[in-house]
Amino acid sequence: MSEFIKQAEQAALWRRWRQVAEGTAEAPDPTLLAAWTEHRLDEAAAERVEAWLALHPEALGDVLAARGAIASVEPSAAALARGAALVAERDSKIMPLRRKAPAWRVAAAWGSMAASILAVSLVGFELGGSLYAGVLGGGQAESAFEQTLLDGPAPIFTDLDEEISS
Amino acid sequence: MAEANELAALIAGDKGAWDRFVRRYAGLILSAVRSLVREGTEAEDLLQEVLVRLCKDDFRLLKTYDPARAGLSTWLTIVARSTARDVQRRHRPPQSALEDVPETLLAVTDVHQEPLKLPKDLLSPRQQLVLTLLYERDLDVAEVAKILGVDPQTVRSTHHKAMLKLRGHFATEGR
Repeated sequence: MSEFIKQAEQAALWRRWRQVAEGTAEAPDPTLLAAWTEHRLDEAAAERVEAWLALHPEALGDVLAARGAIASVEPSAAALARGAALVAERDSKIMPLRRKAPAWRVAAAWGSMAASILAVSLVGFELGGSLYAGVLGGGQAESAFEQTLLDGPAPIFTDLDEEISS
Repeated sequence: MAEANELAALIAGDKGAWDRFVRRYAGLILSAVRSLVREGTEAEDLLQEVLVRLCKDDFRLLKTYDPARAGLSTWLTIVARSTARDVQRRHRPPQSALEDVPETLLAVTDVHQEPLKLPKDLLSPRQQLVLTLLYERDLDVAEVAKILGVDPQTVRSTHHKAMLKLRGHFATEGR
Protein backbone atom coordinates (compact mmCIF):
# COMPACT_ATOMS: atom_id res chain seq x y z
CA MET A 1 0.00 0.00 0.00
CA SER A 2 1.52 3.31 -1.03
CA GLU A 3 1.89 6.00 1.64
CA PHE A 4 -0.43 8.96 1.17
CA ILE A 5 1.46 12.25 1.18
CA LYS A 6 -0.24 15.61 0.87
CA GLN A 7 1.65 17.49 -1.79
CA ALA A 8 1.95 21.27 -1.84
CA GLU A 9 0.53 21.41 -5.38
CA GLN A 10 -2.56 19.46 -4.30
CA ALA A 11 -3.10 21.68 -1.26
CA ALA A 12 -2.82 24.73 -3.50
CA LEU A 13 -5.41 23.28 -5.87
CA TRP A 14 -7.75 22.69 -2.96
CA ARG A 15 -7.28 26.26 -1.65
CA ARG A 16 -8.03 27.64 -5.09
CA TRP A 17 -11.19 25.59 -5.31
CA ARG A 18 -12.16 26.56 -1.76
CA GLN A 19 -11.96 30.30 -2.54
CA VAL A 20 -14.53 30.10 -5.28
CA ALA A 21 -16.66 27.14 -4.26
CA GLU A 22 -20.24 28.01 -3.48
CA GLY A 23 -22.67 26.10 -1.38
CA THR A 24 -26.08 25.36 -2.70
CA ALA A 25 -27.25 22.78 -0.22
CA GLU A 26 -29.55 23.75 2.64
CA ALA A 27 -28.30 23.62 6.20
CA PRO A 28 -29.25 20.24 7.67
CA ASP A 29 -30.99 20.13 11.05
CA PRO A 30 -29.13 18.67 14.06
CA THR A 31 -30.89 15.31 13.76
CA LEU A 32 -29.76 14.94 10.16
CA LEU A 33 -26.18 15.87 11.10
CA ALA A 34 -26.25 13.41 14.01
CA ALA A 35 -27.62 10.68 11.74
CA TRP A 36 -24.85 11.38 9.20
CA THR A 37 -22.26 11.20 12.00
CA GLU A 38 -23.52 7.73 12.91
CA HIS A 39 -23.67 6.59 9.25
CA ARG A 40 -27.43 6.16 9.39
CA LEU A 41 -28.41 8.07 6.25
CA ASP A 42 -29.06 6.69 2.80
CA GLU A 43 -26.73 7.73 0.00
CA ALA A 44 -28.79 10.63 -1.33
CA ALA A 45 -29.40 12.17 2.09
CA ALA A 46 -25.75 11.67 3.05
CA GLU A 47 -24.68 13.42 -0.15
CA ARG A 48 -26.74 16.51 0.66
CA VAL A 49 -25.26 16.69 4.16
CA GLU A 50 -21.73 16.20 2.80
CA ALA A 51 -22.16 18.95 0.21
CA TRP A 52 -23.08 21.35 3.01
CA LEU A 53 -20.42 20.10 5.43
CA ALA A 54 -17.65 20.51 2.86
CA LEU A 55 -18.28 24.26 2.83
CA HIS A 56 -18.97 24.70 6.54
CA PRO A 57 -15.86 23.72 8.47
CA GLU A 58 -17.36 24.86 11.77
CA ALA A 59 -20.17 22.34 11.42
CA LEU A 60 -17.60 19.77 10.39
CA GLY A 61 -15.94 20.46 13.75
CA ASP A 62 -19.28 19.69 15.41
CA VAL A 63 -19.62 16.27 13.83
CA LEU A 64 -15.99 15.44 14.63
CA ALA A 65 -16.66 16.39 18.26
CA ALA A 66 -19.83 14.29 18.21
CA ARG A 67 -17.79 11.33 17.00
CA GLY A 68 -15.57 11.89 20.03
CA ALA A 69 -18.68 11.86 22.23
CA ILE A 70 -19.72 8.51 20.75
CA ALA A 71 -16.27 7.13 21.46
CA SER A 72 -16.45 8.28 25.07
CA VAL A 73 -19.94 6.84 25.58
CA GLU A 74 -19.12 3.49 24.01
CA PRO A 75 -15.62 2.55 25.13
CA SER A 76 -13.74 0.00 23.07
CA ALA A 77 -13.24 -3.57 24.22
CA ALA A 78 -9.56 -2.79 24.73
CA ALA A 79 -10.41 0.17 26.97
CA LEU A 80 -12.80 -1.99 29.02
CA ALA A 81 -10.14 -4.70 29.42
CA ARG A 82 -7.59 -2.08 30.48
CA GLY A 83 -10.08 -0.69 32.99
CA ALA A 84 -10.70 -4.16 34.45
CA ALA A 85 -6.95 -4.77 34.72
CA LEU A 86 -6.46 -1.47 36.56
CA VAL A 87 -9.21 -2.33 39.03
CA ALA A 88 -7.70 -5.79 39.65
CA GLU A 89 -4.25 -4.26 40.14
CA ARG A 90 -5.60 -1.72 42.59
CA ASP A 91 -7.50 -4.40 44.57
CA SER A 92 -4.39 -6.55 44.92
CA LYS A 93 -2.50 -3.66 46.53
CA ILE A 94 -5.11 -2.94 49.15
CA MET A 95 -4.80 -4.89 52.46
CA PRO A 96 -8.16 -5.71 54.00
CA LEU A 97 -8.82 -3.51 57.02
CA ARG A 98 -9.36 -5.21 60.42
CA ARG A 99 -12.72 -4.52 61.88
CA LYS A 100 -12.57 -2.30 64.94
CA ALA A 101 -13.17 -4.31 68.10
CA PRO A 102 -16.13 -3.30 70.26
CA ALA A 103 -15.42 -1.18 73.36
CA TRP A 104 -16.36 -3.92 75.85
CA ARG A 105 -13.81 -6.27 74.29
CA VAL A 106 -11.03 -3.67 74.56
CA ALA A 107 -11.95 -3.00 78.21
CA ALA A 108 -11.98 -6.74 78.99
CA ALA A 109 -8.56 -7.21 77.37
CA TRP A 110 -7.01 -4.35 79.39
CA GLY A 111 -8.72 -5.63 82.57
CA SER A 112 -7.43 -9.17 82.17
CA MET A 113 -3.92 -7.86 81.50
CA ALA A 114 -4.03 -5.74 84.70
CA ALA A 115 -5.37 -8.72 86.69
CA SER A 116 -2.54 -10.94 85.40
CA ILE A 117 0.10 -8.36 86.42
CA LEU A 118 -1.49 -8.04 89.85
CA ALA A 119 -1.62 -11.81 90.33
CA VAL A 120 2.04 -12.25 89.34
CA SER A 121 3.05 -9.42 91.70
CA LEU A 122 1.15 -10.91 94.62
CA VAL A 123 2.54 -14.42 94.10
CA GLY A 124 6.09 -13.06 93.73
CA PHE A 125 5.72 -10.92 96.86
CA GLU A 126 4.38 -13.87 98.79
CA LEU A 127 7.21 -16.16 97.72
CA GLY A 128 9.84 -13.53 98.48
CA GLY A 129 8.30 -12.87 101.90
CA SER A 130 8.30 -16.62 102.82
CA LEU A 131 11.94 -17.02 101.89
CA TYR A 132 12.97 -13.94 103.90
CA ALA A 133 11.00 -15.15 106.94
CA GLY A 134 12.68 -18.55 106.65
CA VAL A 135 16.15 -16.98 106.64
CA LEU A 136 15.56 -14.64 109.59
CA GLY A 137 13.21 -16.73 111.72
CA GLY A 138 14.67 -20.26 111.43
CA GLY A 139 18.28 -19.34 112.40
CA GLN A 140 19.44 -22.75 111.23
CA ALA A 141 19.46 -24.10 107.80
CA GLU A 142 17.16 -26.93 107.23
CA SER A 143 19.57 -28.75 105.03
CA ALA A 144 23.24 -28.93 104.51
CA PHE A 145 22.91 -27.28 101.18
CA GLU A 146 21.04 -24.29 102.60
CA GLN A 147 23.61 -24.08 105.39
CA THR A 148 26.37 -23.94 102.84
CA LEU A 149 24.62 -21.16 101.00
CA LEU A 150 24.05 -19.15 104.17
CA ASP A 151 27.61 -19.62 105.51
CA GLY A 152 29.25 -17.83 102.70
CA PRO A 153 32.69 -18.57 101.32
CA ALA A 154 35.12 -20.42 103.55
CA PRO A 155 38.39 -18.59 104.34
CA ILE A 156 41.02 -19.72 101.88
CA PHE A 157 44.10 -19.14 104.04
CA THR A 158 42.84 -20.62 107.30
CA ASP A 159 45.14 -23.56 107.06
CA LEU A 160 48.01 -21.33 105.93
CA ASP A 161 47.63 -19.06 109.01
CA GLU A 162 47.61 -22.04 111.25
CA GLU A 163 50.72 -23.29 109.57
CA ILE A 164 52.51 -19.94 109.91
CA SER A 165 51.53 -19.50 113.52
CA SER A 166 52.66 -22.94 114.28
CA MET B 1 -36.09 2.27 25.68
CA ALA B 2 -35.63 3.64 29.19
CA GLU B 3 -34.02 6.73 27.66
CA ALA B 4 -37.00 7.24 25.35
CA ASN B 5 -39.36 6.98 28.34
CA GLU B 6 -37.26 9.48 30.26
CA LEU B 7 -37.38 11.92 27.35
CA ALA B 8 -41.14 11.48 27.00
CA ALA B 9 -41.57 12.20 30.71
CA LEU B 10 -39.27 15.21 30.45
CA ILE B 11 -41.19 16.67 27.50
CA ALA B 12 -44.44 16.05 29.38
CA GLY B 13 -43.12 18.37 32.08
CA ASP B 14 -41.81 15.92 34.71
CA LYS B 15 -39.44 18.02 36.85
CA GLY B 16 -37.60 14.93 38.13
CA ALA B 17 -36.96 13.73 34.57
CA TRP B 18 -35.49 17.15 33.67
CA ASP B 19 -33.23 17.06 36.75
CA ARG B 20 -32.01 13.58 35.84
CA PHE B 21 -31.42 14.69 32.23
CA VAL B 22 -29.33 17.66 33.39
CA ARG B 23 -27.32 15.54 35.82
CA ARG B 24 -26.65 12.94 33.15
CA TYR B 25 -25.81 15.18 30.19
CA ALA B 26 -24.39 18.40 31.69
CA GLY B 27 -20.87 16.95 31.57
CA LEU B 28 -21.25 15.94 27.93
CA ILE B 29 -22.56 19.40 26.95
CA LEU B 30 -19.81 21.11 28.91
CA SER B 31 -17.09 19.09 27.21
CA ALA B 32 -18.71 19.75 23.81
CA VAL B 33 -18.59 23.53 24.25
CA ARG B 34 -15.31 23.71 26.18
CA SER B 35 -13.19 23.40 23.03
CA LEU B 36 -14.90 26.54 21.63
CA VAL B 37 -14.05 28.80 24.57
CA ARG B 38 -10.98 29.70 26.57
CA GLU B 39 -12.23 30.16 30.10
CA GLY B 40 -14.15 27.82 32.37
CA THR B 41 -16.83 30.31 33.39
CA GLU B 42 -17.66 31.00 29.75
CA ALA B 43 -18.16 27.27 29.19
CA GLU B 44 -20.55 27.16 32.15
CA ASP B 45 -22.50 30.12 30.73
CA LEU B 46 -22.74 28.30 27.42
CA LEU B 47 -23.97 25.16 29.20
CA GLN B 48 -26.73 27.30 30.68
CA GLU B 49 -27.58 28.69 27.23
CA VAL B 50 -27.78 25.20 25.75
CA LEU B 51 -30.10 24.00 28.51
CA VAL B 52 -32.29 27.07 28.07
CA ARG B 53 -32.44 26.45 24.33
CA LEU B 54 -33.42 22.81 24.90
CA CYS B 55 -36.38 23.62 27.11
CA LYS B 56 -37.41 26.85 25.37
CA ASP B 57 -40.92 27.03 23.85
CA ASP B 58 -42.10 23.91 25.61
CA PHE B 59 -39.06 21.81 24.61
CA ARG B 60 -39.51 22.65 20.92
CA LEU B 61 -35.92 21.72 19.99
CA LEU B 62 -35.82 18.59 22.13
CA LYS B 63 -39.03 17.41 20.47
CA THR B 64 -37.23 17.34 17.10
CA TYR B 65 -34.82 14.67 18.38
CA ASP B 66 -35.57 11.28 16.89
CA PRO B 67 -33.98 8.32 18.74
CA ALA B 68 -34.48 6.12 15.68
CA ARG B 69 -32.10 8.31 13.66
CA ALA B 70 -29.25 9.10 16.04
CA GLY B 71 -27.98 8.64 19.57
CA LEU B 72 -28.82 11.36 22.07
CA SER B 73 -25.14 12.01 22.90
CA THR B 74 -24.33 12.67 19.24
CA TRP B 75 -27.36 14.90 18.79
CA LEU B 76 -26.69 16.84 21.99
CA THR B 77 -23.05 17.45 21.08
CA ILE B 78 -24.06 18.92 17.73
CA VAL B 79 -26.83 21.06 19.26
CA ALA B 80 -24.52 22.24 22.06
CA ARG B 81 -21.73 23.36 19.76
CA SER B 82 -24.08 25.00 17.28
CA THR B 83 -25.81 26.89 20.13
CA ALA B 84 -22.44 27.93 21.56
CA ARG B 85 -21.37 29.37 18.21
CA ASP B 86 -24.65 31.29 17.87
CA VAL B 87 -24.13 32.78 21.33
CA GLN B 88 -20.55 33.73 20.53
CA ARG B 89 -21.65 35.40 17.29
CA ARG B 90 -24.27 37.42 19.20
CA HIS B 91 -21.70 38.57 21.74
CA ARG B 92 -19.10 39.62 19.19
CA PRO B 93 -18.28 43.35 19.29
CA PRO B 94 -20.20 45.33 16.66
CA GLN B 95 -18.41 45.96 13.38
CA SER B 96 -17.91 49.47 11.98
CA ALA B 97 -20.33 50.45 9.30
CA LEU B 98 -18.73 50.69 5.88
CA GLU B 99 -19.65 54.35 5.51
CA ASP B 100 -17.83 55.17 8.78
CA VAL B 101 -14.49 53.88 7.47
CA PRO B 102 -12.28 56.48 5.75
CA GLU B 103 -12.11 55.93 2.01
CA THR B 104 -8.31 55.82 2.05
CA LEU B 105 -8.43 52.69 4.17
CA LEU B 106 -10.72 51.00 1.70
CA ALA B 107 -8.58 51.75 -1.32
CA VAL B 108 -6.90 48.47 -2.25
CA THR B 109 -5.50 47.21 -5.49
CA ASP B 110 -7.33 44.18 -6.77
CA VAL B 111 -4.61 41.80 -7.80
CA HIS B 112 -6.65 38.63 -7.41
CA GLN B 113 -8.62 37.51 -10.41
CA GLU B 114 -10.79 34.40 -9.92
CA PRO B 115 -13.75 33.22 -11.89
CA LEU B 116 -17.01 34.03 -10.17
CA LYS B 117 -18.26 30.47 -10.15
CA LEU B 118 -17.05 26.92 -10.53
CA PRO B 119 -19.00 24.44 -12.61
CA LYS B 120 -21.71 23.26 -10.26
CA ASP B 121 -20.86 19.60 -10.43
CA LEU B 122 -17.11 19.84 -10.74
CA LEU B 123 -16.62 17.88 -7.55
CA SER B 124 -19.11 15.50 -5.98
CA PRO B 125 -20.14 16.24 -2.37
CA ARG B 126 -18.08 13.26 -1.21
CA GLN B 127 -15.01 14.52 -3.09
CA GLN B 128 -15.47 18.00 -1.61
CA LEU B 129 -15.78 16.59 1.87
CA VAL B 130 -12.72 14.35 1.51
CA LEU B 131 -10.63 17.35 0.42
CA THR B 132 -11.99 19.50 3.23
CA LEU B 133 -11.23 16.85 5.84
CA LEU B 134 -7.75 16.25 4.46
CA TYR B 135 -6.66 19.84 3.84
CA GLU B 136 -8.79 22.05 6.06
CA ARG B 137 -9.09 19.79 9.11
CA ASP B 138 -5.66 18.30 8.40
CA LEU B 139 -6.77 14.76 9.15
CA ASP B 140 -4.98 11.72 7.79
CA VAL B 141 -6.46 9.15 5.43
CA ALA B 142 -7.29 6.65 8.18
CA GLU B 143 -9.18 9.28 10.20
CA VAL B 144 -11.14 10.42 7.16
CA ALA B 145 -11.98 6.81 6.32
CA LYS B 146 -13.29 6.26 9.84
CA ILE B 147 -15.44 9.40 9.76
CA LEU B 148 -16.94 8.49 6.41
CA GLY B 149 -17.32 4.80 7.22
CA VAL B 150 -15.27 3.66 4.22
CA ASP B 151 -11.89 2.00 3.79
CA PRO B 152 -8.71 4.11 3.42
CA GLN B 153 -8.21 3.00 -0.19
CA THR B 154 -11.57 4.56 -1.10
CA VAL B 155 -10.45 7.84 0.46
CA ARG B 156 -7.20 7.78 -1.54
CA SER B 157 -9.08 7.03 -4.74
CA THR B 158 -11.68 9.78 -4.08
CA HIS B 159 -8.88 12.25 -3.39
CA HIS B 160 -7.05 11.24 -6.56
CA LYS B 161 -10.14 11.67 -8.78
CA ALA B 162 -10.93 15.06 -7.19
CA MET B 163 -7.40 16.27 -7.86
CA LEU B 164 -7.59 15.16 -11.50
CA LYS B 165 -10.80 17.18 -11.94
CA LEU B 166 -9.33 20.28 -10.25
CA ARG B 167 -6.12 20.09 -12.27
CA GLY B 168 -8.11 19.69 -15.45
CA HIS B 169 -10.43 22.58 -14.60
CA PHE B 170 -7.76 25.09 -13.58
CA ALA B 171 -5.49 24.11 -16.50
CA THR B 172 -8.31 24.80 -18.98
CA GLU B 173 -9.12 28.06 -17.26
CA GLY B 174 -5.48 29.18 -17.36
CA ARG B 175 -5.27 28.91 -21.12
